[in-house]
Amino acid sequence: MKRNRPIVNIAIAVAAFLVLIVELFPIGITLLNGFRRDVIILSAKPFEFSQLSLRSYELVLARPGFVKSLWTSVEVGLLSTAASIIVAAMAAYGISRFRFKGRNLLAYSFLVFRMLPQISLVIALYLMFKSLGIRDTVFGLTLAHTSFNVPYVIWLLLPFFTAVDKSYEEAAMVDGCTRFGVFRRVFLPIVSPGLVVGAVFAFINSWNEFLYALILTGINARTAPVSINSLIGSDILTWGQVCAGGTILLLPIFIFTVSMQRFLIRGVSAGGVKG
Amino acid sequence: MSVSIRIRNAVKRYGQSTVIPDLSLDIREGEFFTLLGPSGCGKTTLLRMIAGFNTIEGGDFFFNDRLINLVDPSKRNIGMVFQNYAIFPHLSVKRNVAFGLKNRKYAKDRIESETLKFLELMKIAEFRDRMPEKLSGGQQQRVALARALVIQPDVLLMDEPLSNLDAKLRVEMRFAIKEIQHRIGITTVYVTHDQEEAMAVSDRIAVMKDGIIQHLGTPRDIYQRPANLFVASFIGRTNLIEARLETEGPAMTLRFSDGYSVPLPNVREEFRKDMAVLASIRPEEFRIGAEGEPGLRATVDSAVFLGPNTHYHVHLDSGQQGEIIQESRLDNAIPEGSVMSLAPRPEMINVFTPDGSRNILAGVRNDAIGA
Ligand SMILES: Nc1ncnc2c1ncn2[C@@H]1O[C@H](COP(=O)(O)OP(=O)(O)O)[C@@H](O)[C@H]1O
Ligand SMILES: [Mg+2]
Repeated sequence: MKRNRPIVNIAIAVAAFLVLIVELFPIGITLLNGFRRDVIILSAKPFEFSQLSLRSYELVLARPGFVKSLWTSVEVGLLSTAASIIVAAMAAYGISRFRFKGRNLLAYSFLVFRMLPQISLVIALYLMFKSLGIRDTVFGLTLAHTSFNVPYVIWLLLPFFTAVDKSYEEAAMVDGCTRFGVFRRVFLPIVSPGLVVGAVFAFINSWNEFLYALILTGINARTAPVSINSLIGSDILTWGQVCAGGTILLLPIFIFTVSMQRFLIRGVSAGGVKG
Repeated sequence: MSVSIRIRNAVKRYGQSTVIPDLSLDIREGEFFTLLGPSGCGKTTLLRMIAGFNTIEGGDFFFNDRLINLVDPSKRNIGMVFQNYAIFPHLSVKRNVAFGLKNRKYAKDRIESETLKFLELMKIAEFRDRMPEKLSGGQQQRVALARALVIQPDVLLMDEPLSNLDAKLRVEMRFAIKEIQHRIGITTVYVTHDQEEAMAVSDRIAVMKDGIIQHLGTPRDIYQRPANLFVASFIGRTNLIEARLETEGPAMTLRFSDGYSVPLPNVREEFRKDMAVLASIRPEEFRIGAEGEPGLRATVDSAVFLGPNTHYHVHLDSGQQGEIIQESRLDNAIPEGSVMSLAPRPEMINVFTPDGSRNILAGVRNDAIGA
């Protein structure tokens, strides 16, 4: 094998750095403008350190319903993640382990459900939720988010599940385990990196979701993205507050992915998921 | 409690293809029984039918007198060692071994003491708190065996348990397995495609081909008096030489193409007639003489010195090639190109019908049902 020459390494490093800059640029703008006043942003003045202030954060956090909307986002995210993981893990186990009529059809139907445009369904969901009396409730929105997270997580888990050698389960069975015991005590621990990856993505899906939250909720179950959006639509331009709110929304994503980094890297490579 | 295993007319199909057409078998209580055969002959399939992981398309399986066809694997009280060991990666060695005892809801101190007993039996007590990924192949093998045995199963099933180990460890583990089986006295069904391994560990061996048992007997039975040509050539090495069976009054003679003949007193009654046959002679069963002495004339093509033995590749005057093994002495090396005379030991010859389907000699001991 040819040895890597330093010049090649440097070129790769520079290219990677450039890509990183392009990717981080919008995040940087958001971050920076969150700490500037609306007037300064709108006046297009060049940046000076003296412009930095916490005023936009104060304003956005003081807005009626904003903090509550953050909590609603967390609540809906966690509930829908839990529900999706439980349902999807059992469904993916069934698909990967049992041969039954219509198995492939079922698996592909999840792929199709995952691809359906939300905008095509949102009015139908609105009418259904309204007549069920669950419009503008945490429960209703959790249900809506779970509806796209379940097929998503099933497809994410399948490669993890099919990669597990059946002999682990058989070994547990001859050791006297019931089917469900095998699933819970042997299978789930073995695929736990996959479950972590699934949970992280499910939470992020829900956290970022905008359209369902916009249409299906009003005041009670409004989520943070909807709440920030309402700043953009008003008469006064409040870009500083929007950026401050956007930065707050970015935080859990960073915390989540960084703290789960070990699992994510292991899981993404183990499941053969290309990212 | 060990059990005997009785299989009657077992049938296994995968879709249109029949892997096991009709197999009957008796495995005795406490014996080390091996299913031996080339890859794809249905050994794993049969073992998994005994374990309960495969559907049974026909026939009956009994543990003692209990019909187990429809009994769930978890209720058959079997221990199983898998080819890849299948040690639970998320549990320590100790918790792997204790797993089955916990399922049986034993008292805590009993679980503790039983687990320790088997960890010690398998000489892995010092690793009890390690995670499986930190164990060598041989140690994992021992954990798998301890886990299979700790539940005191009625039957121990093993599918090619040594195939993932390197050659030296494989030989070592053979003895470990054999010894532990002997000590516990558990009915054991062992699957391998390695005939040497099978001979080393087994009380009895069933040689299989295409889902059919060709010969069932002790290692000695199947090596020395194989039931047919397939068994003769699958177990060990052998030279096949075309010859003729000739009657001379009441006596029978085996005559080779170059005129050399040996008396054959032990031909079965039904085959006592003039006919073409195939003689099977193992490489080590020739007396090697100088050129001109009675025997088959053979020319040495190459010699390989392997320490205790020397292997010669030779060809007969008929052009047929063969292999001879000679015990190495200080002064008995035979140079390449020299001509020698090969006299097979008559009692060690096996003689088959021309199609190879039957050994025509008396003394074949075959426990296969219907043989
Ligand atoms: N799940 C299966 N589906 C279809 N055919 C199978 C299956 N398992 C095994 N077979 C076939 O059955 C035959 C016997 O396989 P197996 O019992 O694994 O052989 P062995 O263990 O002796 O190598 C092979 O021809 C194999 O291809
Ligand atoms: Mg096999």
